[in-house]
Amino acid sequence: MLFFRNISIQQKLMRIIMLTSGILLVLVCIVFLTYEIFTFRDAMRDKLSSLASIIGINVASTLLFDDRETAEETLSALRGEPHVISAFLYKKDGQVFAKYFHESADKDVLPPPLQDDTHTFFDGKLLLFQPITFQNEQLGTIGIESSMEALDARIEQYGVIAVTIMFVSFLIAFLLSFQLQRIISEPILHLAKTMKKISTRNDYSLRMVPGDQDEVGFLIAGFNQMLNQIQKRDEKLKEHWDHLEEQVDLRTKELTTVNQQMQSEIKERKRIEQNLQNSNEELVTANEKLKSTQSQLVQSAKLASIGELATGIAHELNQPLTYIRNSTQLLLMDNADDLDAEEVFETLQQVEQATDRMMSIINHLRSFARESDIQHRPVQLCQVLENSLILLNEQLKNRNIRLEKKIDPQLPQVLGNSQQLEQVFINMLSNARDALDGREDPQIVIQVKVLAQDDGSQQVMICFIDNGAGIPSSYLEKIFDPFFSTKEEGKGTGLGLSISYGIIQDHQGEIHVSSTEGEGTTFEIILPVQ
Amino acid sequence: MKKHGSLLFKSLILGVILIWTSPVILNATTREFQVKAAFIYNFARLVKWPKGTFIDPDAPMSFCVFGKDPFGPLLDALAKETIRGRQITVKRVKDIKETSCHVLYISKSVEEERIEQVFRELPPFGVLTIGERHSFGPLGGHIHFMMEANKVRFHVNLYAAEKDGFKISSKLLRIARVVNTEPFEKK
Repeated sequence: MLFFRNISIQQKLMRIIMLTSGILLVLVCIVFLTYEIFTFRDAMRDKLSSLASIIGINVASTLLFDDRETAEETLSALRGEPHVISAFLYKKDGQVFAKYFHESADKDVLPPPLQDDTHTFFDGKLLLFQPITFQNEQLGTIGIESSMEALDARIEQYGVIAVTIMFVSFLIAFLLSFQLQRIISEPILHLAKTMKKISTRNDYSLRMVPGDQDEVGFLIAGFNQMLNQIQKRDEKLKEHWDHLEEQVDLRTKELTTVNQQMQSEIKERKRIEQNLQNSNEELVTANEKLKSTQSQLVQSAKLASIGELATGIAHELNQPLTYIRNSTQLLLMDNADDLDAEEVFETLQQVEQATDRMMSIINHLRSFARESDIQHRPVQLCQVLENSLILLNEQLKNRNIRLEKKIDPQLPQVLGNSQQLEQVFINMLSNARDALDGREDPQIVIQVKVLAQDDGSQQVMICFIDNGAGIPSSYLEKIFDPFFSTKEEGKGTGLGLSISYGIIQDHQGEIHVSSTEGEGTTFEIILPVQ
Repeated sequence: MKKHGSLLFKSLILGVILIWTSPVILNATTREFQVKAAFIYNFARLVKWPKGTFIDPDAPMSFCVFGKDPFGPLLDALAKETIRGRQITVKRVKDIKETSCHVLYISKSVEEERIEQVFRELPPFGVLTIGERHSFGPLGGHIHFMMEANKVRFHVNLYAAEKDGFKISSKLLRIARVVNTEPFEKK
């Protein structure tokens, strides 16, 4: 549609109208011409057909009586029809019986071959055949050839008329469209012109002249309304602009105040933070102090228990010492000659064993008294239990206390501190020992079991069960409190159980007590297996 | 259109066959009478008989030959044809009074006096007379043959025919060489 691009709407409208009317005119002319040609041909055929009928009737008898002269005479009547070029009369067998040629026609032309009742247009001619009948019997056929020059002349005439009409109508269409296109183009042009003015001058106070009540009219009205809105908005915008500065000032002031407030707040916070840090440091120091105090406390408790054990230890050492003394005295009493080397060797071996035992007791005592590190290592609980009995075995024997051990043979190792655990066990056993004082058939049962937990982990439970005096239920709650003791003044520190409690807590374990007065007490220690 | 051709067509074919097969028989005379037989048939087609000639619509039309018969079998071939639904019968007659004819051909052999006598004996209307002599018309005959450049042509005595109640088609009249519309002067 390049034809319509980049030209004004006026020209577009003109071109559309001219093109439409032009094409329509040409189409109408073509249609009429075609119709004319067909009508003319039909008319021509009809005319020729009736001519052939008349001639046919007239020449029928010449065929009956084989009279060629009369036939040709009859055919020569066609002279009155100048468009008939030639005519031929055929007998039934197709032989030409008579002919006729127009003066202007070429008389040497061979007659066309006989055809049935047909007509053909060819070469600007019309050839028509028509049978000749008489009393229902076909006697022959007549063929007439007519020139179509009349049609050509007619078309020519028609063409001249068509061109004239087209030219005149085109001129009228041009004049009419030139006038009428203004109805549409003028308001649009006005719109465009005003638009341009507004956009170049930036003047939104301009308005358009309202148009008709059609789409363009609505467009103009809409445009004017839009211009109104723009103008109003501009004014509002200006107003807002003026107001905005005031508001910005106000807001800035507010912001400054808030900022200042916030700064002072931050300062305050910093100060509090500093204070907090100081107190935290103090707390850490206090904690450290507490820790050292605690370890000192543990140590002193340990030493206290050693003191307490001293008597027991003396007993322990006494037994091998007695043995050594007796053995050596026996040897000294014998004569040197009587000395049997084997006997001496045996005795010396026993003495060595006794001294070994004493050394182990002393060594153990020394290592127990030493301040331990707090590191946790894998610990064989059986060993720890045996170690704790080293210091207590003799005491229990002397007091006729029966010791029964029920230890699970597949005991896993426990993560912990062996010295601390030994301290706990010694505490447990010495408490039991004291509780059994003056009781009939005194006994202590040590039971060690593995407990499987639901989550797959394992725990070890160590129970110390005695059939001693028991603890009154009113004391059971306080028993793990520091400095709580039921023993006579000077006999206990009152720290033993509380320290044991602390040690077991350090091992993430639990310690429980259950007791029935007059029947006995059970301590239950549970340690996790790692 | 009739498939079983007209006499003209058939006789033409017959003629062609004869020309090829029997040149002895087919001389100029045979050919002439072949054409004349066809003409007689065509005359009967182009002539309307006066009302009351035929007893009923299906009554046959009789072609009679008086005098020496020059046609031989040629005329008998017409007996197969019909004219307006009427079957043709062909007869040779000696006594006119005894037979009824619709077409009466009087051959050349018959003398003028005899012809006059036959005309007197004929019924007053309904018999188309065809002759060979020049005097056949003046004697009161309706149609008579003549030769023109070796072609068979004929005269029509329209006056006599109309007087005797016949209506002759213009088609026939157009072909006729001479048409008498006035009575011949008495000799």
